Amino acid sequence: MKKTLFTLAIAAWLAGAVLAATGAEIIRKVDENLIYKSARMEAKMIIHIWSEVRTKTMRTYQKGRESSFSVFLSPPRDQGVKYLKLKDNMWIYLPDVDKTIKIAGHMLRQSMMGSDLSYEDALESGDLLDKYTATLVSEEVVKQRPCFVVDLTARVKEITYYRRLVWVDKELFVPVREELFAMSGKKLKVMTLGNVQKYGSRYYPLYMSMRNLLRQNTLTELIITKAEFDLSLPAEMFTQSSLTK
Amino acid sequence: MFKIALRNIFRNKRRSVLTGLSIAVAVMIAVYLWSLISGIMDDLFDNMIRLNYGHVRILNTDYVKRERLLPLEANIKDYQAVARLADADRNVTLTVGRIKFGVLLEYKGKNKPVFGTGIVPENESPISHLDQKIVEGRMIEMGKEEMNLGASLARELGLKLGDTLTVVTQTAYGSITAMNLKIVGIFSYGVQSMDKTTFFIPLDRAQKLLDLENSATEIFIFIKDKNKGPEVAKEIRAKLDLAYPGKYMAKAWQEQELLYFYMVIARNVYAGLYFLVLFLASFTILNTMFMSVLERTKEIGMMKALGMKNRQVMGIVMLEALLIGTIASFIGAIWGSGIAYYLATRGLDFTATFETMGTINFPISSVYHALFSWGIVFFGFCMGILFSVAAAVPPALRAAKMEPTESLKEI
Amino acid sequence: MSVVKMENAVKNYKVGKVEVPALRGLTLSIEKGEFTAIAGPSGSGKTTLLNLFGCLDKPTSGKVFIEEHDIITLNPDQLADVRNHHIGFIFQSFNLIPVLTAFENVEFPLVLLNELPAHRKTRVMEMLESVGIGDLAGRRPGEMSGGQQQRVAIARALVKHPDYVLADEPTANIDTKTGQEILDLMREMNQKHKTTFIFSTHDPKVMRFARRLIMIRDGQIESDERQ
Ligand SMILES: Nc1ncnc2c1ncn2[C@@H]1O[C@H](COP(=O)(O)OP(=O)(O)OP(=O)(O)O)[C@@H](O)[C@H]1O
Ligand SMILES: [Mg+2]
Repeated sequence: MKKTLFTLAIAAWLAGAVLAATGAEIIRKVDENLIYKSARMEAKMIIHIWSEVRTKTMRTYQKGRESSFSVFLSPPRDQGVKYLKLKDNMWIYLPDVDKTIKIAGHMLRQSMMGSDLSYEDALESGDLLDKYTATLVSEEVVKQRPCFVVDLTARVKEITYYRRLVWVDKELFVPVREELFAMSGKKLKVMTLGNVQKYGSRYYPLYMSMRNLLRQNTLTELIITKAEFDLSLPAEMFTQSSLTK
Repeated sequence: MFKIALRNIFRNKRRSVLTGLSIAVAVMIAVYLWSLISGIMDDLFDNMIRLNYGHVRILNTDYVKRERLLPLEANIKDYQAVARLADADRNVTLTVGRIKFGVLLEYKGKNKPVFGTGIVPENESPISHLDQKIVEGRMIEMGKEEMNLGASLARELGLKLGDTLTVVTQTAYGSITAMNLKIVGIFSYGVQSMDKTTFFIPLDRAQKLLDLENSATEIFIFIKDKNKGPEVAKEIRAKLDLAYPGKYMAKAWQEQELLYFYMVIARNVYAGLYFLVLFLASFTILNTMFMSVLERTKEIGMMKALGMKNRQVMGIVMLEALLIGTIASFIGAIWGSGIAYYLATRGLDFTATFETMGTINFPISSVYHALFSWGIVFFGFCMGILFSVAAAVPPALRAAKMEPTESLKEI
Repeated sequence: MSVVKMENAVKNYKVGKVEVPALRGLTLSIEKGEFTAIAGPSGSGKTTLLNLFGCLDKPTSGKVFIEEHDIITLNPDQLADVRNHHIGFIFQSFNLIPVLTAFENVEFPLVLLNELPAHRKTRVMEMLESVGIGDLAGRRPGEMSGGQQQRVAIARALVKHPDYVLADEPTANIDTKTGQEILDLMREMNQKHKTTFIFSTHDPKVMRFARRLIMIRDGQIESDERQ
């Protein structure tokens, strides 16, 4: 009797380990799919806010998961606004006043360009698996696509989103939905992804929507209109001097 | 009869003088205290009305609940059209749109949370008296990227006339935004909450900075007779409800809970102090009148023996108190009005005290000016007499109760 | 016809719970124009008697009549009126109002009677002249001798032409010579104005001076004789 209990416990533990491994495996596969050595994209950001719709266009350059550089092209109000992200740091260049502002402290949690994304969301870099424990919790069908549901629970407490639920397309290893929770269990944000396109052997979603549940009646859509991957980008692009150029 | 009362006062000069003095001092304190408190309260209300509330103020209904956070998104779209609704009212003399916003002002490594206000400079004269409060430089002009800055704030951040400051804040939609503003004028209101934490920029620049084209966060309405605030507010509310159901609301200054709260507190505290002072003084008159009545037991008995009636005996005692009270109140009222007049013209400077107290959140002037009014002086005078006479009632009753047989008693 | 009389008047004073008898059933009538002395040892009830005659107090039992009116039924204001109109008082310690001049002191009863100022002035001056201190009209009591003060008091008592004047030991506070002058003055007034005088005294000389002498002891009449 004792022995069977022991074997069962071992089996359960092993099963958990296997599931966890699978969860981590899925997330790793997603990263492999989405993260390129370099990328150049043009995108349209559509912000729905209090029955108003504000559209902004931008061009973004990425290098790995750590560095990115964006320039806003429209509307006139935002034209020439530049963002530079290097690891955990972010700078904004405001052409009106010809000033670079470092985003730090309390500003990190604020809305980026009035969207439902915070600077922190945009800053997120590094491996999720460093901070979270991934567990495959179930499988569901979303928009007629079978998906894994992966639970990511933080290993540290000082983190904005303590828990994340990610729905990953089983076949394409592209996330289709993500829900973000606070430590209290309160759901903070819901993200959906779509319009998955194939680039070589990899897949990339060109549509993303984000809803910040703490704000009322708002929704931000990001539509990538042009995407090129693995091109050579000048190294000085990802330095502060490129902001003022 | 009058002669007796009058001469009785001089019977024990020291006692009468001391009694009179205590009444005079009480009346003096009552008069100047009231003048001072009235002055302070009037100043506070006037500042609050002009700087914070207008006579009537139109706001977005959502703004009201979160006013402390200055929620820019709860603004008044196309504010000029809304203001025109109010303009139609014949009581209204002026309507102005304003934008109030919070900024973390940063200069040379120092930063400070402050409040900016977008104003139409040419309309400000009757509102904030900004034109009169500029101590250096000039007022801002519409369409230019300029600011007027509070003197204490300028000092604190080490800013001076001609400097250009980058104001970084968030738009109504949450984007980061910035504007370079040149300091063209420095103002000093002598009001800590103004001088230490505010600046003014032209309304159109505020609209641009905050992405609030054609909008304002509040509309100040000034009317002919500020006492009619609630009536006018009601009419404007009706119009707003018709044109923009549920969206905007109008509130008269009298309907501002904070103002009302201050008003009630001030009135109660003052009335309490006022009557406490007079009450204490009336004890001295009660005391001295008792003493002088008891001392004159035999004399009062004699007067009654000669046929004086109880009423007349009471009258003579009260008359004595009335005379002392009148003379003392008169002197006290003159002293009090002297002090009040001095405080009204010269003021009482609390700047240093306030500096050490840090920033005070309501617009109270650092220099107190008393409100000098003959009404206050006259009221103090009357109250002094009233309390003197009232305090003489118990001794007078005691005198009336004395027996005429006392006159034949030999001790 | 009597100006004032009492019938079987009893006066008890309450001292704590004990009743102290001061008058034990006195019957006494004073006739118009009489110059009466009431004498007796200390505590015999002289002052108490004058209190009743003076309408300053009411008897515990018995009756007091002034011009045939019973004073028992009167309220304090009515008693004051009776005193005002009918009775003059002279006190042992003069009892002048210290803040008023001699003139004003004498004027005082007339003020209480609501006399016209012009009328008052002539009567007061006449009175001061007739008591021999016309030249002291402007002085205050503190600036006068005991005899002079008592003259003012007599003038004050007589100025309203009362039916009778009560004097409680009027000479006790002044020296013998002045006392004699005061008595002479009272007698003169008695004869000139036909004013009834009732005064109490200890002094045998004063007793002898009276036309009628009533001796009381322990609240009772011991003797009553006209000289
Ligand atoms: N107010 C009073 N209360 C109590 N007892 C009194 C009062 N007045 C008088 N008596 C008492 O009544 C009695 C008579 O007193 P009253 O003053 O009439 O005497 P008197 O003849 O005037 O004496 P004196 O010659 O000392 O003036 C005395 O025993 C006295 O103690
Ligand atoms: Mg006696």
